[in-house]
Amino acid sequence: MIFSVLIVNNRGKPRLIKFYVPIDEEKRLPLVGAIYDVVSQRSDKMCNFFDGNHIDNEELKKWGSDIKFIYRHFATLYFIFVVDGTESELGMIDLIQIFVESLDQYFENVCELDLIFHTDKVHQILDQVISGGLILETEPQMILNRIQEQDDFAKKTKKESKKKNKKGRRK
Amino acid sequence: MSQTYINKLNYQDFVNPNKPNYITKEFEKLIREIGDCKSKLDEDRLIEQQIIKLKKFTKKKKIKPKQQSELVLRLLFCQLLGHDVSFAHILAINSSQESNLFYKFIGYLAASIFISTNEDLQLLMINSIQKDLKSDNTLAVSIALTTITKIITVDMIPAVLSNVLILLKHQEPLIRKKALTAMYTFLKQSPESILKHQKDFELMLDDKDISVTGVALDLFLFISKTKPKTIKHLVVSFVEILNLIISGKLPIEYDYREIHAPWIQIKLLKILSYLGQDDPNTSREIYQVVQLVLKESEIGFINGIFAGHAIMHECIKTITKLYPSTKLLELASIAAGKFVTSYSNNLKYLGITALTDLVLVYPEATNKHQIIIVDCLEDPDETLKRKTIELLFRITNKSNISFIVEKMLSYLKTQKDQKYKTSLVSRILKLAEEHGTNIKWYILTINKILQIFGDLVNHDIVYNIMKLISEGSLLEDEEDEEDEDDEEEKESGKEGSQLTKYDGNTALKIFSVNIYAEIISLKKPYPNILYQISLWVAGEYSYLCTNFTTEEIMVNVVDLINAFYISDETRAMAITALTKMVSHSGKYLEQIDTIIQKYSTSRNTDIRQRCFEMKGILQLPNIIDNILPPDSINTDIEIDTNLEFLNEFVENSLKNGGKKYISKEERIKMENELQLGINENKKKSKELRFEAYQSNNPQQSSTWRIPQQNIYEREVNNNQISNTIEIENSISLKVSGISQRWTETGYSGFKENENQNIENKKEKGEEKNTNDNNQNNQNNNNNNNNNNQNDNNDNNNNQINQNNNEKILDVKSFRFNRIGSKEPILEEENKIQEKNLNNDNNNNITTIKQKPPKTEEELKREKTVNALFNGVGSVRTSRKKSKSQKVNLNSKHITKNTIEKNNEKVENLIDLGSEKN
Repeated sequence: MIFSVLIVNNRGKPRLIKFYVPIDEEKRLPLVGAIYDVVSQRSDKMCNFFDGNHIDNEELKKWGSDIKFIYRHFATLYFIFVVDGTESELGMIDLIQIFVESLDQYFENVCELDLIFHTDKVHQILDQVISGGLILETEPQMILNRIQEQDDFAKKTKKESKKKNKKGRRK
Repeated sequence: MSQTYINKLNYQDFVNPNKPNYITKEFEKLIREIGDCKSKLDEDRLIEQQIIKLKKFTKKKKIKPKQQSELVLRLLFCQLLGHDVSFAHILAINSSQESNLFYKFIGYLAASIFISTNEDLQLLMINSIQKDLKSDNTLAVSIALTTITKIITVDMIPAVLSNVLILLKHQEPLIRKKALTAMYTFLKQSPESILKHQKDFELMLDDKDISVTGVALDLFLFISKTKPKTIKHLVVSFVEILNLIISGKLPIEYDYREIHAPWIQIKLLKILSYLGQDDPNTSREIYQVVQLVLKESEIGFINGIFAGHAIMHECIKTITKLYPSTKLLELASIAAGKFVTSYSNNLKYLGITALTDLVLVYPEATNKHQIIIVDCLEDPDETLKRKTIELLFRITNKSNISFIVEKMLSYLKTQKDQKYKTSLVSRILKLAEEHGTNIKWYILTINKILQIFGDLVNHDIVYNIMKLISEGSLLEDEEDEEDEDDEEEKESGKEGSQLTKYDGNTALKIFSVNIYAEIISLKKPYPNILYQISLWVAGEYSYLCTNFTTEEIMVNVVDLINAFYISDETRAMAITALTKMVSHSGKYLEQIDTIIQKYSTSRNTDIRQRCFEMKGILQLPNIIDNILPPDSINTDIEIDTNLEFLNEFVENSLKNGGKKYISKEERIKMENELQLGINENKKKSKELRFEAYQSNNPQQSSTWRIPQQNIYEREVNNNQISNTIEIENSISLKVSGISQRWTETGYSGFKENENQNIENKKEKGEEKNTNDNNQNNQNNNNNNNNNNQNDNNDNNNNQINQNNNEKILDVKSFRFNRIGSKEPILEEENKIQEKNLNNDNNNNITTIKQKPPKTEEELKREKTVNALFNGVGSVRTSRKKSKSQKVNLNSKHITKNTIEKNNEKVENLIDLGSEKN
């Protein structure tokens, strides 16, 4: 199961924090900070995983003993997945790839600013890939189709409501 | 993203006109300003301002949905930066109840992030979730299901369960999948209530859409992990699905880089591994398909696709868990070899972890790759190294131990994490102990470890080594082997032939004393722990050494004592080692005199004590062999716990009117009675009671005064005997008015010097036999030092003697072990021995020094007290006493007085005693 998906920039600023298990609000940032500390000290040549025992955090211990961190570094951003023993490390690396590919296609050359200005969209895309800690969809095109569908629907309802408003004024 | 980047780009640059966007100019300004912030403080201030603004909005009664969702987005932003936005959670909930799907989505999103642990607000959400689950709009249903997975708690499950179960049969695969993830969340929270619906999940395995099956597998994965027995009957279906996937009959959209549905394959393998664990029958059903999957995944491996590697890795893990099948294990070890030999660190890492599990069931797995595994220790990647170390611990055996330990030690040298280092050192020591077949190799390895990491090692190792050397044995064939292997050994062929003459144990001692004597001769700043072992071995077995003469070792030890890099503890042990060597060999060095002279005045009491011991022992050449017999560690020493040799002494003193020993119970009774008596005459007793200084020894109750003691002692050394008589006379000086508070604590420290006290008194008795008869007899009573005290005092003395007896009982259980100062009992034991000898040798001298009449004492005390404190009242607390000691350091006369108060100190008296000798 996937416990958490984090996007943190090179300077440690969180850009997306998603937990799939309940966690108190005040405990979230310290945990993210602790994970960032480890990730940021690893060079790109090192492998993309490390064990939970690298981080001393009480919240983390609650999740189990076989916690693993899988991360990838793209330009200015670290994409970090926190998973347990039931997930395959290499599988997760490819899942990060799928997530980033989807973001890239949706935002057309995604950059850090897109994540700041379109937080809601990033969450939506992530919800298509992972739901409740489980892998939902692994095909970027399918993911984009769903998001597009939602966008279109939102536009439609917007127009309808505008029309309604106009009608209301005429009356 | 750098700040400058944000400044240069215009807001319009990132707003895609085709995508709905609710960012207002104000929000954009905020983001920009935060990008410009140079410190966390500035950022916090800005957000605080923003939060004040947002609070104003939340107080408004009517907000347009559009504005509301914009506010929610701002709140999300503030929350992401770590600020508390709990005041506005209600906004998010309101937003989720909007009819417009877009606002609704933002509302649900924010709610799921904000209130994941707040139960009150979660209950508020239930209504809108229930409504949306029944909606015709699939998008609304989908959002509601996603929210369920994030905020649901055990209490809320019944409210939505029935709706979700209906949605499992929804026509849209997406909804079916999301309903399954919701079920998974329920399952994790309350497994019992959900397992009733297991039939529903089983149907999902046959779903038209394989991705739905994939999500259903997650549920079964959870069940197989917790209750594998309940789904054993499904093994056939799982194998079928796996066969279907690898046969490539699925639609192409489920392929990821030419690999068929890799994530589903991984999940299936995981489930099968849990089901086949410790179950031969199930395992047999699985063998074939796993082998097929492994073969298929090799194609992916060649193309360098991670997903392919992932499946292969999973296969290895599954094979490791299944009931062992040699054929599959062989295949797995070949596959693991591919990982380990790969150039990618990721694959190497996984290869090492796979092998770590695999060697437990198939030890041959690592045979071909040992060199590659060891090479991983030189990789710059720390994670990889640590995993490799774990693997090495598992594959160590008798044949490769020396090689692996060597590699581990060279890795340890580069390690910076102290905590990890310490744990690793102890693990390596354990490993050497377990697998080391050769004692010589073991001793050499331990020495090597101690040389570098001595500070990190648990001191138990010292005793292990000592025990090994004193009791262990070199086997005959081992020696031969060693002679053949070790060229150095061959060169010194003489020793080889000599060694065989002795039995195994002596051979080992010769071998080790040669090694440790050499370590001492190197004079390098090694850790103390190594020197401590060396000194002990050298002290015990110097006469066996073949590479050095005893004199050479002694010279080296003398040099070591003067070296700056050893600790006081080690120095003290070196002095003891020197004493042993002198007594074993009968040879004496001039340097020893200088050592004794130099360190008799050391600040460290232990060193000083050992110096005096050595001096004393060296002056008794007749009995020197009895005190320190060679190879004493293997001879148990009988200890006379009843102190029978003192019987005569006790009887004598009883005859002469001494008091009888009172047992603990009686004493407590007496104390209680006494207490009653005191309570009756409280006022009177306060004025009249006197107590001796010596029994209230302030130095005993707090350790920080000890250095001061040393200063006095030095002065005494200079002043020599001329003062002795006066010191003796005033030994039982008392101070009036010191109340009962001194009783318990004051005496508790007293016991340490008890033995020595008695002994010293005996020694002094040699010089002064002109004692008042009555007083003398009383003092002769071994159980009571000062009988001219009041009852209370007397009782306490008895208690001390009790303690003393208990201590001696302790000695009985203690294995006589001359290593260091760690065992204070040991020294006392030595003392007892010495005392014993003294008794035997000097039968005439049994008298103990006399005490001057009480009145005389008091007069004297009053005089000195007046001199000291200019007539300040005679009631003094311990603190004041110590102060007075400090103040009066200059005056000789007064120094004497202060010494009087502390004159139980062993060193003074031993010194005086030895002068007389």
